Amino acid sequence: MLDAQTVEHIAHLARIGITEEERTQYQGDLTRILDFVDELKAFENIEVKNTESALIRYAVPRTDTALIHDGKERERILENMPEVAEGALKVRQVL
Amino acid sequence: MIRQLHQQLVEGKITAEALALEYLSRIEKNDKEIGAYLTLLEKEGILERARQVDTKIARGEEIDLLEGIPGAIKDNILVEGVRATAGSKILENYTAPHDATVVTRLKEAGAVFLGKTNMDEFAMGSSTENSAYQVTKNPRDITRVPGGSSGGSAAAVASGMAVWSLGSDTGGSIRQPAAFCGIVGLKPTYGRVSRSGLMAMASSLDQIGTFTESVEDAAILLSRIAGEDPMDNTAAPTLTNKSFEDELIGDIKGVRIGIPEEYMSDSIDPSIREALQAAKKNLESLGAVLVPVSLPHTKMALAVYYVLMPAEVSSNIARLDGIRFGVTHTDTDGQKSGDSLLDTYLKNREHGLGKEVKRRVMLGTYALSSGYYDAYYGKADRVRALIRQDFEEVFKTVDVLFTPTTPEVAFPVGEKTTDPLTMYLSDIYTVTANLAGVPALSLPIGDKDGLPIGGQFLSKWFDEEGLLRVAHALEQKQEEIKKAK
Repeated sequence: MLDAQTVEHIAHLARIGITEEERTQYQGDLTRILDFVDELKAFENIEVKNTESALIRYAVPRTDTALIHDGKERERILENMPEVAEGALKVRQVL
Repeated sequence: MIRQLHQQLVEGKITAEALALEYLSRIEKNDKEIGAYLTLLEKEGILERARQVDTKIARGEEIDLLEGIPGAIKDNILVEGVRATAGSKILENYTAPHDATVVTRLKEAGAVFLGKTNMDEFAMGSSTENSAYQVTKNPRDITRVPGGSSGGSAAAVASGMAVWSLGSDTGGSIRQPAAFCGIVGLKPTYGRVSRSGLMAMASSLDQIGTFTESVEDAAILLSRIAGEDPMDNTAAPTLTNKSFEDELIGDIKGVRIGIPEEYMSDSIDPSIREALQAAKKNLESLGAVLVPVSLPHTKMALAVYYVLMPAEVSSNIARLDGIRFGVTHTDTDGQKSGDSLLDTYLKNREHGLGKEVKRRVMLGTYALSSGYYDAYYGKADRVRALIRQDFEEVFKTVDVLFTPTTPEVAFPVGEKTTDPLTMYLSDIYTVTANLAGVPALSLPIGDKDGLPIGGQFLSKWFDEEGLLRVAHALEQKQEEIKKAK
């Protein structure tokens, strides 16, 4: 069973605020799912070549040129932002 | 169905405008009950597109097969200027700034878009009950789920509220709802269709695909959305000038069809077993050769999937922080929440994301965290390679594989919502295709007291021709038998 502290630590890393009630629920849920995937432990010493090529049959590079977007797309992107100042996304002070 | 509608358009028996109006009126009449659509496109815009097609026909210009044919798009695929929520509260005010590549291609083909369909939040779920907005009902029995995560897209086609629709499939999200709703669902090879403009869930598994009434319709759509794209470097060039619909020759004599023993567990519904037997007989009567085969690592697939998928999810969902993407949470006093940047993130994600998304993000974060990375992600990645090798081996001796799509028929709404692990088991026969990257298609092969049963075909990487040809031949045979009765 994952302990409460671990769940809180994961939630923090994942940047998700959780209530105490949720913490208890996730403790149970995550433990059960982790127990289920633990069957992978049976594969202790298996050597496999080429895991990275599992899917990338094609990797077509595009030319290194800037894509010119029309003003309308820029407008739409700005409209989706929670706060805009001088045509840029406004965020909280970090430092 | 697309070809017939196209014929009627060309012959002047119907107009594209009348066709669009017919589908809009069906939506108005039936969607309150089904709940397939989240957002409808503006009516005047829909009719304007349809009228353009009518003008072309009136001028005697040639039109594409898909031109003027109305369809729907899953809400995690962008259509410029239209709201795209992906079933999440955090994107309730998000408007797509541009078209997904598939949408651009369908626009070029002249297709008409009706609306955006409901889905499990960010495609995480197998029943469409995880949408922040509404629960979609199965049109065959409204007390049951349509499957998921592309449940809205499946229900729209199955209830005649769209001729075709697009979905996305990360672990079965097209094939499982297609099976539950009794229609054709196609997940193409990873890399066959550009993912640009699809909101990423698990990038090494996601693939855009189609829902249609027939295999030919799936082929028609695939021909129009497939191909390389500078915006997605995994999207492969199409090496043939032939359209997929031209490959449906009906002849499957001598085609070798593998029947994997691992897909016939004891937990499978007896009615599904029977339907599969009947389908196998039909395939044999068409001259196909059935070969018992084994994919020994299949039993590990679900465990591998539930490590790799959440790991990729936790990374992809990180951008949904209420600042770069999504709604900033507002406290009850009307103030933007959070004292610090960290606090803002925590609150935005706490209030903006649903339970299942949080569960998977946390699971993935744990699997990738220091000290656990190799035990979970590293190992799952290695076992994934073994699963892929199983397919490489088996496709040396057979052309396609035939399995059930799901172990059971559509389940009642609410039955599995309290137990995530039971819900995950719905994907047991579909996740392997995503892990290996091979194409797969679900075809209706029977029913259990009116609830549809799906049979799944899988083929070699980039052999959608073979996949569609076999599925089409079986579909035609089943039609023939139905007519004879």
